Parts: sequence; C-alpha cells; structure tokens
Amino acid sequence: MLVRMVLPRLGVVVDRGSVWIGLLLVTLCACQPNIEQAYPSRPLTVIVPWKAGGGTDTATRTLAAVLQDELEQPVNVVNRTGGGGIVGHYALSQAQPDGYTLGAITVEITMMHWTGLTPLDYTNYSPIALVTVNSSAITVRNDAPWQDVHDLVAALKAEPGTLTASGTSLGGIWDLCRIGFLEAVGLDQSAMPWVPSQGAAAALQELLAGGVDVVTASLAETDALRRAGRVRTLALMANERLSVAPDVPTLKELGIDYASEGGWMVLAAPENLPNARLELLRVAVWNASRRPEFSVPLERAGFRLQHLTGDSLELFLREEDSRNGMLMNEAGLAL
Amino acid sequence: MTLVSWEGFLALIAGALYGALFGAVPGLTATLAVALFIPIAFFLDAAIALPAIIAISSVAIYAGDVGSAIARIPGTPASAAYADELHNLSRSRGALYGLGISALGSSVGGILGTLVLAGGALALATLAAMFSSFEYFWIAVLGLTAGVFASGRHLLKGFISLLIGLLLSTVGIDPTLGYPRFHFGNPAFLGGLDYIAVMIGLFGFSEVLYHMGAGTKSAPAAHASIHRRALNNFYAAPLKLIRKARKLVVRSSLLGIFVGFLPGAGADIGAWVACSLEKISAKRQKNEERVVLAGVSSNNAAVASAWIPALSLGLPGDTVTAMVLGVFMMKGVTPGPLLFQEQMPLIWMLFGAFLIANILLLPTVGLLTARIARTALRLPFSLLLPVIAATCVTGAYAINNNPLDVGVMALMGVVALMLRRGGFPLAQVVLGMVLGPILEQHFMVSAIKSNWSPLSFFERPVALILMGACVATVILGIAAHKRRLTGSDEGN
Repeated sequence: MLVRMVLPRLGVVVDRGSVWIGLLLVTLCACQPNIEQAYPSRPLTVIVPWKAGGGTDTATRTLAAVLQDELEQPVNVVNRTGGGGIVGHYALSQAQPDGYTLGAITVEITMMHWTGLTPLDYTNYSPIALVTVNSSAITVRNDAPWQDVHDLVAALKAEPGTLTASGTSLGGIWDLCRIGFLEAVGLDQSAMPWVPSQGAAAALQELLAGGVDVVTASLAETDALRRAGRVRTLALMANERLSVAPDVPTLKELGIDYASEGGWMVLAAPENLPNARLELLRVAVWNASRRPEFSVPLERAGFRLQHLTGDSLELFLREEDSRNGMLMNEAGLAL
Repeated sequence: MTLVSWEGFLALIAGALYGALFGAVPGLTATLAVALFIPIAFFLDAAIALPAIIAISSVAIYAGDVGSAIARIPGTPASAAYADELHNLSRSRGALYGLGISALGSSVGGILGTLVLAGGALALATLAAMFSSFEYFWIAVLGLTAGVFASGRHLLKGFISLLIGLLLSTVGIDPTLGYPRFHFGNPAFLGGLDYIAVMIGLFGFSEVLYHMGAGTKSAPAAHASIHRRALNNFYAAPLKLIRKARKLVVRSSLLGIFVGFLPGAGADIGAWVACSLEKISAKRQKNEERVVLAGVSSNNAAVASAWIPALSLGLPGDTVTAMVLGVFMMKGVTPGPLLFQEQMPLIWMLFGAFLIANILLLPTVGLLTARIARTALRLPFSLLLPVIAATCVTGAYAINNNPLDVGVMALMGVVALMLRRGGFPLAQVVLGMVLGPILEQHFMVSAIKSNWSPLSFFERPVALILMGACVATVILGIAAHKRRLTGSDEGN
C-alpha cells in the first residue's frame, strides 16, 4: 500500500511485472551469504601510508592493477598519509581482518616504535608477501675526486668529519644505511655527518649544488641523474647487483662486509587474517608478481622485486626489526 | 614533422577533461590525478602517456581557479594569492569574464613557459643545479616578504596573518631533526596540518559561517552575460585586457618561469611575487583584473618550467614531474643533456603537447568549466551555501582520507571568521603554512652544513643576489605603501 502511494509521486511507475522482478531481486540478495563464502566477492582496498606519486605508491598501484586480474575483483588504492607514515600504518592495523582491507607496510614499521612515537610494530599485521626492496646506493657528484668506494673511505679516514651525506630526514632509513656502512669500514658515524633533507630529491639537489658530498638514497631515486651523467653510483649496499645497473658493484664485492635491505614494501593485512584467505592472497600476489605488466615497468624504474612469504617473511621482518633497532640505538635515536 | 599523433591528441583531450574535474573539486589535486593515471601510463606508449600528463597538469592548475570564482576556495596555494580578487571579479562582472581572464592568462603564461622550456632548458638547468639550501632559504624569505606587501592597506595585519601561518606550519614532526611538536598525544597530528585542508577551511567554510551568521543576502551575481555576449566575455574582453597589459603578463610569466624551474618550491612563490609586485607598482587602487592576470600567467608558466630540471638534469621539480621521470625510466628514456640531442622527436612531441594544451585546450575546456561556474553563481546564495559546506567537508576528507583534516578544516573556518572581523587577510596564512617548512628546513640544513656560522648565508653569489631582491622588495614595498596612503588621503 505504502509502495503504491509513495513511489508514483516520486515518478516511479509500479506495475505487476516490476513487483515480481523486485521480489526476485530480494530473493537473490537473501542468497548472498552463501555466495559470500567465496572470497573475494567484493572490491578490495589497499592502504598506502605515503603520498600519491612516491615510490611506495607507484609500486602498490602497479601491483594493484595486476592483482585485480588475479582476484577478479577491483582493487582500490587509497593514500592515508600523515604522521611520518604512522597514520596509514595505524589505519591498516585497525581495519577488519577480513581480507578486504590490505595495505602496504614499509621499513618504517620496524623503526618508528623504537623512537617511542607509536607502539605499532610488524606483529600488528598478517604479512602477505614482500614486494619490493630498494637498496641504498652510494652516490657522488660526477666531478667528485673518488673513483670508487675505497677512495671515498680513504678520504673519510684521512679527514673524518669533513665530508657530509644526505638522503632523507635524521634517523630515516638512508641515514641508518650510512651508519651501517661507516661501521663496516671501521669508522665512527661522525666521520661523515648526516645533513637531514625532505627526501631523496631534495638531497640530490643539494648534492648537485655542492651542499653535500654523498647521497645514500636508493638507486630507484637516483637513477635518472645517474643516467643523465650528473652523478656516479659508487656501490650498492645490497647482496647482488641490479639488472637495471649491471655496472654498479655491491659493497660485498668490494670487500666491505655490509648489505642492507634498505627501503622495502610488504603487502599486509590486519593481524589475525583467517588462514584460508591469507593463503589465497599469497598465491594471488605470487602470480601477480610474476606477470611482466608488473615486473617490467618496476624493474626498469630501478626497483628490486623480491618475493618472500610465509616463515621466511616472518624471519625477514624479525631480523630487520632488531637490526634497525640496533642502528637507531647507535645513532642515539632510540628510546 | 607531426608534433603529436592523433592518439596523442585524443589523450590530450581526455587528459584535459580529467584534469579539469580534479582541479575544480577542492581536495583533489593535479598530483592525485596524475598518480591515479600512472599504472595506466605504464602500459601506454610514451607518445600517449606524456601528452595526457601534460594536459592533466596544465588544465588542473587552471581549474583550481573555478573554486575561487564560485566560492572563494582556491585550488592551489598559488591561486590563493589572488583568490579574493578573482572571486570579487566573478561576482561583479560574471564568472565568464573572471575565468576568461584566468584561462587566457594561464594560456599565455603556459605558452611563454613552453617557449623557454624549448629554448633555454639546458642553460636554466645549469642555474638550477647551483641552488643549495642557502639560496632556497633566501627564495623562501623573498616569498614571505612579497606576501606581506601583497596584503593591501594594512601591512601589519598581513604580517600577523603570515605569522599565524608560520606558527601553524610548526605542528608535527620537525622536518630536520624529527622532534614531534604540538601533537597533543594524537598521532594524527604528527604529520602536521595539511595546508589544503586549512585553505578549504579558511576560504570556503568561513564563507559558509559568515553568511550563516550575518544572515544577509549577498549581492546576486551579475546577470549581464546573456548568451550572445558569452563569447565576448570569455574571449574578447580578456584578450583585450591581456593586450593592454602585455608587459605585466610577460613580467609575471618570466617570474613564474624563473622561480618555477627551481626543484622543490617554485610555482607557489612565483605567483605570490608576481601578484605582490603588481600590487606594489599599481597606480590605481582598483586593479583586481591585473592582479588575477599576474597570478594566473605566472602560475601556468611554472607548470612548463617545472619540467626543465626533470628533462635536463633528471631531477624532479615537483611530484608530477617525479612521476614523469618514473614513466621515462620505464620507457627506457634517459633524461639529461643527451635527451636534447638523441631524442629530438620526443622533445618536439612534448613541446607540441604543451602548446596544444595551452593554445587549444585551456580556452575550450576553460569555457566549459566557466559555463558551469556561471550557472552555479546564478543560483540563490541560500542554495549554494549547503553545497559549498558539503564540498568543504568531502574535499578536506579527500586529501588524505583522514577524518582529522575535516576537524582542522572546520576549526580554520571559525578562525577565519574572526580574522575577517578584524580585517586580517587570509591568503597570507596559507602562504605562511606553505613556506614555513621550506624556510625552516633550508635554514636548519644550512646551519648544520656550516656548523652554525651565520656568515655562510651571505657567502654565495646567488644567495647574495636573492638577499638583495628581498631588501629591494622591502624598500620598494614601503615606499609604495606610503605613496598609496598619502594618495588615498588626498582622495578623501
């Protein structure tokens, strides 16, 4: 009765046929819970804790574009920025662990809790898979006098404290890589003081203008300048060379026993994601990461794609957490 | 040689419409528009992807003015410099005229920027590579100085507004040493206040509160532009103005270009200096059209010149060009001086895309958006207000998907209401917020580099020139201010 009175006034014509169709639709909706069992049955959201256009954002959006083919559901990327990444990481940890809200967690999750800024750490998530690893690269101006890392180390030992390095904020991941590198060659961190910057681009600007001497940001961030011939990359702080820069040696090849995972990105869900869904997502991410639409553009842009999941991913996160905590302690940044 | 393939041309048109949508909605930015497009761009040919990005960013910057025209909500910090003038102009002489000046002024600025990009990219890149933190520090000081002298009759009130903006910019993790400030235990404050949320609150939401409180009917927008005269209002009249004020347009565009190619902070400072220079040197009091013209031309000139460091050095000037570099890397295109020798077809294609975006797309897409704006302005204000309020809330939320930003936006609306009562300008608050972190960051970095030696700020030649420009702005500004005060006294 109500339907017959109200709907025509709103311009909706009700006839017998549409009532039947309506009833049919209601019945179908009532069946929905059974269909719901098949995960995923609706669009997924991926939270990125960093700004649109950055490295994490690019990698996540490229992954999401392929992942939605694998899952046969739309995968929407949302940037929840602020608080030096805390806001987005927090939002993911608070989401329902139903597999419909995923997120990118980055190396900062193994660093922030040591400073006491947040209690969040990697155990607040169900990690799905390691996606990208961006190792630090030791980069100098093209006209710098040092031909390789050994020249640079010799200069640092001859006059400690005269050369400066930059790449990100104080205590950021590239700062920790600097400390790790200096330690590995037997130097104190004051041998090459850190000049904080707003990020890799600002540090590179300083490098070009002669404001600092060394930049330790990732190869993905410095590669455009390297290819343009403005800077030289002396070494990569990684376990193996990058296919995009086959002529850049690693520190280990040069006899310096130091490698760091640098800035990495792990696709994760909130803690306590049901195992069946976690398994399904692991397989989907594995399949997605092997597709050339995902791997080719990112590798060419200087990202290293590394796939870890399950127990080895747990181990990776635990090691990163303790190593970064140790370095931050030495830098005087930890509580 | 064909500049742009027909697929590229289609991409330009699609990009322009997409960019217009993102630019016109407060909270959605050119950066977000491009970021959403990047995963698609990876699959596309460079000859399609790059023109689309060029069209998106060129049109989105212009479309940021649509919000200023309708509801005094500027789309970018740069357009905050002339938001009041553009809004008054659109109310008194019609949205078509106001946005016509904006679109055609942007177009001319963009063309000049493209010509400089084509002709002098390599030479300018060498200059950009000379800018260290000392030079950036002085550039930020210059921007702040220009902001004070752009504040009209009451310099002191403008200065106070600027200080409020600087104070707001100190919320959150300190950019150099990582010390958390003014966060009141709430992690959401650690990232600082988002200046776009503050801007929407200061300009847009305060307008809603103002009219709710006052209960007065604002003067209805001019109905002068009947259909037959629409084209005249959008094209002919602004063109005539541009021809008459061609010196101003060239000067402002050059300012936009020369500040815009500095990686990091260029575009905003350029528009502010251009507007403030016009206000200082203006002989007459009423020069709203010329202030808008100065702002928009320098604004869009900077869009093109931001590509200079990206193309010739491989250094991203802003977030949009950072993503462009990602597309370059992906396509195996190497930026740098060699690009201009080995990849000339690509370079010509980029210049062609910039020219088409500025000559063809800005005026046509501009007319489309201006017509929508005109319709919006003709609505009774009582109907428009709830829409503005809703736009403010969704816009503030859309920036970071952070509910805190909505609260910040609303609070800023109340603050702005009080500032307006006292006659304090609002745009200077935004300028302070945008330049505060740049100033602080570069001051701290300079100090750390030089072991806190104050003399180091005066040692480099380019830094000295910039310091001279700051001093000159102060002297000229005070002189102009005195002249204007005595002038208006005589008028009384």
